[in-house]
Amino acid sequence: MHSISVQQLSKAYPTRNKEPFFAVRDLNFDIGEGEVVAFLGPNGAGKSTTIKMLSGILTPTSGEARIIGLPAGSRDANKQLGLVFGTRSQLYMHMTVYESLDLISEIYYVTGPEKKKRILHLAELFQLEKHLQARTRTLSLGERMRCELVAALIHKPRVLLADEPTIGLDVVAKNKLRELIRLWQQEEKTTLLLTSHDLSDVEALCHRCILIDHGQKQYDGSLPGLKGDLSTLRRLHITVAESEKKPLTQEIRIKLMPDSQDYVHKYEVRTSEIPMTETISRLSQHYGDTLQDLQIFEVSLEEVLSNRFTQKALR
Amino acid sequence: MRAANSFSFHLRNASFAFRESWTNLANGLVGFLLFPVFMFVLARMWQKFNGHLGNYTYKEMLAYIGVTEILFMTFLRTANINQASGDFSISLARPRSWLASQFSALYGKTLGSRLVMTIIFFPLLLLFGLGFLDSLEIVMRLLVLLIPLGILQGLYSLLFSSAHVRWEMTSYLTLPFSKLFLIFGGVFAPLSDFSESARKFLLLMPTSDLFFQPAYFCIKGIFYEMSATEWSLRILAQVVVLVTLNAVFFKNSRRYHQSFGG
Repeated sequence: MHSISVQQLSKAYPTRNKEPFFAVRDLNFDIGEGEVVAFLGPNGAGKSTTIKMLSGILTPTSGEARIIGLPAGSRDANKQLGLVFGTRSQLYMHMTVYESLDLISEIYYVTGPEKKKRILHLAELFQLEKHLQARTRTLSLGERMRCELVAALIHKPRVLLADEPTIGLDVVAKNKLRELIRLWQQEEKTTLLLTSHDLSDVEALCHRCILIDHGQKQYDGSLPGLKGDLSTLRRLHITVAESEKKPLTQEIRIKLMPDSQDYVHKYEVRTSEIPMTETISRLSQHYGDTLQDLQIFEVSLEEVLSNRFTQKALR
Repeated sequence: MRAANSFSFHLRNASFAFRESWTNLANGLVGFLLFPVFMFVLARMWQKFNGHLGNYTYKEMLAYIGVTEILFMTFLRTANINQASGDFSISLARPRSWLASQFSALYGKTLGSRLVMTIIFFPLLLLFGLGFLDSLEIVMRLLVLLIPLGILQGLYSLLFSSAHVRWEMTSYLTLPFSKLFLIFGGVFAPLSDFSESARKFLLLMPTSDLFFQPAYFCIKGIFYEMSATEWSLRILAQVVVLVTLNAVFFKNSRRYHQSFGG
C-alpha cells in the first residue's frame, strides 16, 4: 500500500470569466512507505494546494487523494498525518511550549503518561528542554520551528507533510532543522513530502522529486535524473598568474566561456565527451606554471529548475 | 468511550482557552481603564434623559451599564474569532471536530474574558457606592448567567468563524452585526424604557435575551415580563437554531475554503 496516493487530483477556483482557474490539474503520483520526496515548483505551481488537499484543508474539485489508503481529510487519515507549515503556526503564542504540546497531543489522542513521556523525549531529541516552560512568543524563529516540528511529530505520524519548513531560518538553524528531520525520518521511517524553495533542503533530504508547474506534473524521478543532460556538464574556473596568458581554444571539447576574465578563464566540458582526467591533463599542459588554481563546479539544482521554468515561461 | 474522550478533550480545550485569556491579565486590566468612566458617563446621561421614568435608581443604572458593558465588550470580538480560527487551516486538518474544537475554545475564551471583567466590576460597584451585599448579589447573578450566555456567544461567534473559513476576511461583518445587537439588545439603554410598541417588538428579538434580560436579572433578581423558565426555554431554542445553522454553514464554507497565502 502507498503512503500517499494521488489520482487525477484537481482543484479549480471560480473566476470572473466563465473559465475556472485550475491551481492543480489531473495530478497523479504515488509515494511509498518511508520515502522522502521533494515536491518542487515555482510560486503558484500548486504545491501548497496539493499539500492542503492531502491534509484535508482543501476539498478537491475532482480526483482522489489517499493517505495510508484512507481518504485524505478523513479523521483516520488525519490521525496518521503530521503537518509543518513554515508560514503558519500551530503553537499557542501566549502559552508555554509545554502547554501547547500538551494540548496538541490531546488533539491527536495521545493522553495519559504516554503524552508526558513523548513530549519529554522529543524535547530532548530536538534540544528544547530548556524552552519547554518558555512562552512560545519569546522563542526565536529557529527555536519555534523546532517546536513546530515536535508538535507535528508528537503523535508519531506515518506521513509528514512539510511545506517550506526552513523558510526564514538562518544557515545554522536551517542545517539543524534539516538534520533533525533526517534523523527522525531514518529512525521512524516516516514518509516525508517536502516542499521548499531552498534546494539545499531538497538535496540534503530527498532522493526523489516531483516537479509541478501550472498545477500539472512535469517530472517525477530521481534528483540526478532531473538534471538530465546537464548532469554530465562541469564548469571549470582556472585562475592564472599572468593576465597575458591566452586561454585554451584548440580543444573543441573544452569550451571557453564568453564570461572569462583576464585572470580567471572559464570552461565548460561534458564528462560524457571527455573524461575529467583528460581535461585536467590538457589544461595543465596548456597553462604550465601559470596555473594558480582550478575549481570544478557541477550544475546546481537551482540552475536546472531555473532553466526549466524560464524556458517554459518563455515558450 | 469515544464520546467521553471527546467531551474530556473539549473540556481541556475550553480550559486551555480560558487560561490563555488570563495570560495577558495586565493587558486586559489596562484595556478596561475606561470601564468606570463609561459606567459613570452613560449612567449620568441615562439619569438625565430617562431618569424621570422612575424605572431604575441611579445605582441600578450604574450596575446595568456595567453588566451590559461586560457582555457586549466580549461579544463577537473579532480578535477572539480570529484567534480561535487564526490557524484554522491547520485546525481543519486535525482528527477532531473543527466545530466542536472551535466552540470549546471560543467558550473558554469568552468565559475567561468575562471573568476578568467581572473581577474589575465588583470593586467598581463598591466604589460607586453600592453596598457590599448588593454588589455581591449582582456579581453572583452575573456569574450564574455567564455559563449559558457563554454558550450563546460561542455559537454566534462560531458562525463568524465559519464565515472566516468561507471568506477569510470577516472583520467587516462583525462590526455591523455587533452594532445590531447593541441597538436591539438594549445595551446601555434598557428595553423597558422604550415605547410600548418598540418594547414589545424588541423583547421578541433574540438579542434581548443576550443583553437586556440578563442585565435586568442581575439588578432586579427577575427577568423582565417573563419567568426564568421562559427565558431558559428561549435560550435553549436559540441554541438549537444556532447549532443547526452552524452545522449547515460550516459544511458549506468548508467546500469553498481557499486557504490563501501558501
